[in-house]
Amino acid sequence: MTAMTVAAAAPALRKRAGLAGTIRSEFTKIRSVRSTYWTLILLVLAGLAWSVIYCAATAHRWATMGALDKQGFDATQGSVIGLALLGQLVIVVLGALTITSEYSNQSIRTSLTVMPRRGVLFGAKAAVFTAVAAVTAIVASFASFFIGQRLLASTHAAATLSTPRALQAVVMTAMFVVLCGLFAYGLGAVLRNTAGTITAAYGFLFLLPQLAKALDPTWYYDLVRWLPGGDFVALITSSSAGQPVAHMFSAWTEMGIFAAYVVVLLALGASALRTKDA
Amino acid sequence: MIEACSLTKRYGATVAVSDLSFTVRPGVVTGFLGPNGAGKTTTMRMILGLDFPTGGRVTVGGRRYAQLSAPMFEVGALLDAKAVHGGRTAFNHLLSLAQTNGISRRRVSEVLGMVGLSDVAGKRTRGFSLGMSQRLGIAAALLGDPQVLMFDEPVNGLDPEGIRWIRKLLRSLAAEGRTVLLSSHLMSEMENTAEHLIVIGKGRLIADCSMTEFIDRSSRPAVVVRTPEPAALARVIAGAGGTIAGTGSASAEEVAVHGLTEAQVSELAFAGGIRLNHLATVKVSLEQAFMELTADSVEYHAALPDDAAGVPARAGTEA
Repeated sequence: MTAMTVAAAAPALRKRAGLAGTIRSEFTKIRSVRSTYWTLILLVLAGLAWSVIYCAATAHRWATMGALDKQGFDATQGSVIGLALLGQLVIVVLGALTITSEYSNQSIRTSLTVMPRRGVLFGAKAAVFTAVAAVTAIVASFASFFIGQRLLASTHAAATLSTPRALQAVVMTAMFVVLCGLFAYGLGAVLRNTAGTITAAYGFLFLLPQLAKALDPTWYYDLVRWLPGGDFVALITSSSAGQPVAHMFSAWTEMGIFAAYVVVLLALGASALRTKDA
Repeated sequence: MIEACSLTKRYGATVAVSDLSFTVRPGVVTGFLGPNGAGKTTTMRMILGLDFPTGGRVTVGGRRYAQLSAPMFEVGALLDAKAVHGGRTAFNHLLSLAQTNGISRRRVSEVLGMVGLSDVAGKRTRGFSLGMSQRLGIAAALLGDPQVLMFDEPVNGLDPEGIRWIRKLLRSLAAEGRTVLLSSHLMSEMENTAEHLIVIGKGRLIADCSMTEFIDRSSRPAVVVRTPEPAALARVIAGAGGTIAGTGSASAEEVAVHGLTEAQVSELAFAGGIRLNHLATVKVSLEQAFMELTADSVEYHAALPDDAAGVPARAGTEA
């Protein structure tokens, strides 16, 4: 420790701080803290637990179910809707923490000192979060689907991936989860506070669609198709076996609307990061 | 080289930094001094492009920080040693920084060795003492082997051995021709380490000069004398163009002479037949010089029972 030979150590590398290096850096950050693993494990478990409990229970009471109930039963939706509803609670936390944890411990300043091009940092964080969340959500979604269908085998109402719109529902569930995380990430960059971000994200994703139900039904139907609430989740997770959700746009249009919200928040977040003092 | 030109930062109605211009040159350790709230940290943040100036500009090696293509190879900074994710290991923390600038894992291990943290490289930083965190922050600053180094209070929380280590490190970095900017509240430490000073108060420049110049400028060294005949001494001193002041001591026999050397005082006393019991030149410390020069710009005054404890209690009239 007494021998100081700082000068000898100059690394002769390509001297440029860029997007590729920042993505590597962000991946190191996300993989080197425990909370990432806990959150992702919780995400998978939440989806699986719902699928197992709901599908096993349905199979168990299948014999006593009425004909109408059986006809309206959507095996695809039953297996993945838990991941969508519970998973969004979990992924919002991870998406928020990706940026707000750097504000709570002030390490954002160090991050911006080593990568002063703020847009690059914002993009690298978003890219790494999206990749990690997407892989986990797709695994969780397919696993929830297959386990659920396996448990429903005895009912002969189980879906396969070739059931019309079943694959779409499985993929959209994963997409929804990832978009919820990115929603929280963008919001976190604006608010720079973990608790505030999580509260606001839950407010928009849950509370607002619930509150809208207090409105006059015609108003509610006009409004709710613009919100990623319960009806939205019911629509995107349903296969052809499910009942149509008449007051909503098509599933892809709805997904597009939610994606637009996310894009707006990401733009606001990037702008806040770029223009405000760190 | 760091150059600030009319740098100004306002937060609403509060002016944190006002029209600040200075140059930090390579080859010496430059101390950055100022009372709490003087704007030191704000200035450092503006140098690093973290806070945007309201007016003026600051450049590192001629370019704004945001324009540096590989900042870690040009500037290493330690702002807040505790600003790390406590759940991450020391190695992974440094690796995540290194990767942004394409710095190798080998270099990460190397800097951990330099700061004496190799043994705890795999430990989460949550359990680190402040001293260990400071070392980790210094390791981060050294990763890219940069020409410009900035440390905000680096000796905070370090033990005496660690303080000596930092002092040696900073001096050797400067001796290699690097630009080293160091802020500290510890005056004795600054006096031991820095050769050049930038002093600010209430966001304005108070001094930008060498350490010796700064100390000389505030007040000249005093000659402290103890004599049973202070009145007689005062007469001959005044006759020779010197001035006399109290020293804050309880004894009326002790006085401080300004404007004359130890030898001149001795000569005058001998010629006048005045008996001296004690005669010594007291060098003004950086702390005294600093207190004097920043007295008007201290943001938060503490009420002291006796403010006259410093040796040259008042630096005469001709400062």
